[in-house]
Amino acid sequence: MSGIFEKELLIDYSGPIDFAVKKELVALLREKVNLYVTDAGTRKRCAYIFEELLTNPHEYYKTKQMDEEPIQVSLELVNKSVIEVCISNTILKTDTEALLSRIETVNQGNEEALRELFHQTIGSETMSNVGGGIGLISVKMKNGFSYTFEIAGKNKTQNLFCLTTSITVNP
Amino acid sequence: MNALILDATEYTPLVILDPTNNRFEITGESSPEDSVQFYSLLGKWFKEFMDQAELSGNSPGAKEITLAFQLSYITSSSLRSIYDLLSHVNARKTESQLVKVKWVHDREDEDIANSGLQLSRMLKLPFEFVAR
Repeated sequence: MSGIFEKELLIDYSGPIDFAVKKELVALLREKVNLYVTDAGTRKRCAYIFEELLTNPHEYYKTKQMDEEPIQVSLELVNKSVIEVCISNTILKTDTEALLSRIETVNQGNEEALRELFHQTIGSETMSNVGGGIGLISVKMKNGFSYTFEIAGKNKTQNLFCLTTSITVNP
Repeated sequence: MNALILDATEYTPLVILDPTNNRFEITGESSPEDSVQFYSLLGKWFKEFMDQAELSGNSPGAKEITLAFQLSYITSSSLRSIYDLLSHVNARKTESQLVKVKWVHDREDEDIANSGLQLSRMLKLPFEFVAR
């Protein structure tokens, strides 16, 4: 039995990421979500989750001085109930394994484990330098959806990393 | 000690740290470009405030001060910076100089309430929670 999915493209962006771009994309999502969602808490949560997901590559590029690298962002509303988010960015090959390991840890964690991981990460003296820090943990805690990802080789030293998750807008 | 008053912006909260009028409030949205830089201003102010109180031997009236947070939106990096701030402030507490935390949130806003709860647990510092 085939499912019928009604999909609407909300955001399709490819280009550099900085603070201003991040805020513009979040504002655009707020605008789109407001058309479908009346609950103020859900609206705010959508904006928060999207901002945290964007912060991951943004902070990574800043840390690695890769400000010229682009990201690709795609958000689709599925059946007016879930937003599927896909964000792609460049990542150094040397950082890939550590990032995947962190994401797997977040995916596998139950509520208590994630809370503990969040506490450990927020209290650690050094921020993660491969991404997958408190933002991604926080999103999973609020959202409940696991992350999926794809890796593709870009060149000798870099991969293209694509992270996907979902945001419930109308349960 | 001079007050520290920072006007709210689109992405940073209103900050009032005013010992003369006993007002210590952080209100609004917290999603700055550099939360470490923003909250370090508050950290420096508190350090000076507590240093002065210790030197004068005059705990600000041997009374406690209450730092009230009423934030409507908090990014995870802001939360981390708030944790760092409160961690340092809490470490300086003495019998006669105490900083308490009031966490004010919208009654319907579970996320903000939970953020306060997480901070309280991580810091092992009881917060006063006020739902409005």
